[in-house]
Amino acid sequence: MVEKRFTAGKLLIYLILVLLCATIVIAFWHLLNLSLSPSHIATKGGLLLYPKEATLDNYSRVIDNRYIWLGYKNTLIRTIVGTVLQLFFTAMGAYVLSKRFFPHRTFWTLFIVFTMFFSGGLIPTYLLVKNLGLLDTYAAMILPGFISAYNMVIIRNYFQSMPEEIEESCLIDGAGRFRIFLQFVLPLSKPILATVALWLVVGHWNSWFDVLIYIQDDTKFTLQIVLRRIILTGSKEILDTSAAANAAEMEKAVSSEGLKAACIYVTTLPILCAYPFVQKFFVKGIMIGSLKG
Amino acid sequence: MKGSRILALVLALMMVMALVPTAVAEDEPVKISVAGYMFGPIDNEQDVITPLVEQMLKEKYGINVDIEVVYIEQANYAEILNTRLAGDTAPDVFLAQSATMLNSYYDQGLIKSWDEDFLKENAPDVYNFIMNGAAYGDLINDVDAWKKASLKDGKMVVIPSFKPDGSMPYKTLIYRGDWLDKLGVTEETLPKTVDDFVALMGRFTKEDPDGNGKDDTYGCSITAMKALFGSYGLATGFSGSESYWVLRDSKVVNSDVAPEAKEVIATLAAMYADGLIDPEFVAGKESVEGSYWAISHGMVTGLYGVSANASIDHYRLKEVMGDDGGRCAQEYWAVNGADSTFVYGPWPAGPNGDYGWQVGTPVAVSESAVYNANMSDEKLALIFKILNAFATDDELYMTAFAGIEGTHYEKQENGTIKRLMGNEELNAVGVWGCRSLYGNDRAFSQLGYDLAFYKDPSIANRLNWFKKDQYNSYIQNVVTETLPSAGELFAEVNTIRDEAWVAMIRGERSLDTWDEYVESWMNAGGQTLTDEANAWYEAQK
Repeated sequence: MVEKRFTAGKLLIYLILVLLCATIVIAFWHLLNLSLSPSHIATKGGLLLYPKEATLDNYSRVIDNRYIWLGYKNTLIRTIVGTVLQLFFTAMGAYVLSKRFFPHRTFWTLFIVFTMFFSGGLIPTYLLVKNLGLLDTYAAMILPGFISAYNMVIIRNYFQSMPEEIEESCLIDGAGRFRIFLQFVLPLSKPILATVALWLVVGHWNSWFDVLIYIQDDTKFTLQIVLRRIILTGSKEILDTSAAANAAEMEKAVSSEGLKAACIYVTTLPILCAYPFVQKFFVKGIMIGSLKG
Repeated sequence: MKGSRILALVLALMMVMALVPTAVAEDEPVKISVAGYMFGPIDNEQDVITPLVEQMLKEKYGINVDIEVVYIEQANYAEILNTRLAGDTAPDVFLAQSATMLNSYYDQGLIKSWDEDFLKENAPDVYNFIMNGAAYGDLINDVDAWKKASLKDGKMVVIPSFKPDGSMPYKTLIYRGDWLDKLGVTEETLPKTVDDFVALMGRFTKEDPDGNGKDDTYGCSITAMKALFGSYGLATGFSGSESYWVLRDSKVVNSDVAPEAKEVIATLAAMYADGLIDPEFVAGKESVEGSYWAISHGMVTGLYGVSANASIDHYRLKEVMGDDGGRCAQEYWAVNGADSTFVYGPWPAGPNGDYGWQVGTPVAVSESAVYNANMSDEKLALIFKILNAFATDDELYMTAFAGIEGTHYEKQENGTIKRLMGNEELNAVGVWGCRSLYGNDRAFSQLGYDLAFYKDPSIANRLNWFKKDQYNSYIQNVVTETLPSAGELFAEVNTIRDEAWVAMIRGERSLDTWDEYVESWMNAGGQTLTDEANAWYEAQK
């Protein structure tokens, strides 16, 4: 029998969950109000539960910024191209590793897992990217982290949980391994692929450090780099580098709190909107993928 | 047969390719990449200034260069630059950033060095300008300091900036005008001694200066507390940063362990015991995380009566600066009403008549250019010739520094310029892109100094105004170079200082333990730093 009464225990759980949600929602709500406020209210600080004076000035300034749109373009390119390629090749690798008859399977799996624990460090990686001639290219944002061992293991586990017999029946029907992978395994693995794709998308959307290091060409700067610049302008770490007498000059370089908030909204909104649609796969995918080691 | 045809084709191609560079080498411009101080990236499509500068250099001086302006974000400058230095993709000209970084670049052989004569030969006007004490000869007494800052092991490695504004005072105490009015304190009766200052802090705390009937006010903020060190000729970095070195009995002593520091802490402890200091004085009501650093939230919101967090550029007053406003003033007016006032106050003098806030020196390397070690001497000579051209050719300098008249700037009646775009937009079109080629923030020329300093009406006003009794500041760091162990040891000794002082002020630790504090400070690396400071000082004589 299913318990339908609303017990005190349940109430407590709901209360905790509501509070937990509030900690996240309030931050967004405050930021939204900040982005709609003129600068003299925004600089005051404190929590804004409603916009005291609403203005769209901040947004119009963000939209006028050419680098925001260039950033959008570059972020979309790296996100779409990167996610599609990475997902495809990760799944392909995972498929091979998931086959029990693959020779030395354990060795190769460990060989790949090994990379999860060690990295070459910033400068060797930079040298590699440079020597491959990838500086200032989109490839520099995609190739260095092309295959994530973690993602591959997760997908492999999912593949392993598929009954071998169905594949065998495909083989009998005359399908090759590649056809089986493309037309049978991949469509059946939507939950896990969607999950990993979401990680990849968010990862690409949010990453900035690789751009900072590998990209000099300002037309290839991604959204996060542009956002970072707007947020950081006027913060103490930048101002401190110069002599005090330049205070007047530096002061002019400060972006207002409202502008920063508007920037954050413009740059995070798309990814926020995408989340709910992929979420349904999310729980399912992770659960299935993590079943067996 | 087919194979040999391809081979022949390849060979022919190789021959052609081998010919190409030699054939055009004569006219090929020399590529110079520069990564200076920038607010935002240069936009190669919109960049009108760099091609103009290149053209002028070519037509007037026969210097054929292709200047590539490289944008490196200021917030991560060192990290990005160091990666590029390791990958051999660093620009030709980049910023020294600090004396510590300069040392490390030099020690690793990453930057070029040259003889003084080399500079004299290739940039004679720049050299003479500096040797004559810069504009109006104002800095003639600092020429030696400049030379020392530029040298490593007898060779020059950097052209430090050399500007009178470096040692100009930039702060005063900023009082809340409404509180002073309420208590009947006028500008003339503002405290000029430590005792009077403490007395006013008492009135701020106890006489309800905001008139709300509640006991919710305190005397001063942490920066105003730090100002009392100036009353004893000291400058401390209490709560986070390094302190100045001062001379006591011809020995170099750190402000934090100077005997007078104990007296200041005693004064502050007494004030605290009296309730004049906010128990949460260290908790960040001065600079609030995420908000503009110079705004004292405690003072602006009416918790404290006085602060020394901001520079007077942040609180501009018409009679001193020529115009009203500034980032903190706007905030202050927004919170307290457009008719609210703030007042510049004098520094309280201590028993020996000392007072004031720390000031810098005219010589600094933080914004100065250094040159990539892998460039040839010819290229460095060319860069110095360009430096000289900027110092002698005002038209060239104005183009690089301000852009095109009417589009990017307007001339003002007083001889200064008014910029017509924001800093980032100016950077995008190429203004300031050559900043590290013409000097630091200004060229080494009369015009460069006039525009940046002397002709600025607010500077003249301000210098004049600072002559008023006890508004001036003069406490300089005796050690003007970063000590070898500074990066390693200061963090530790600063933590020891901060913990000990906070405990002493709050009465949790007895002042009798001062000697123990000094001992632990010394043991944690303070002794090494003091030895290095004295060795450096001796070497300067």
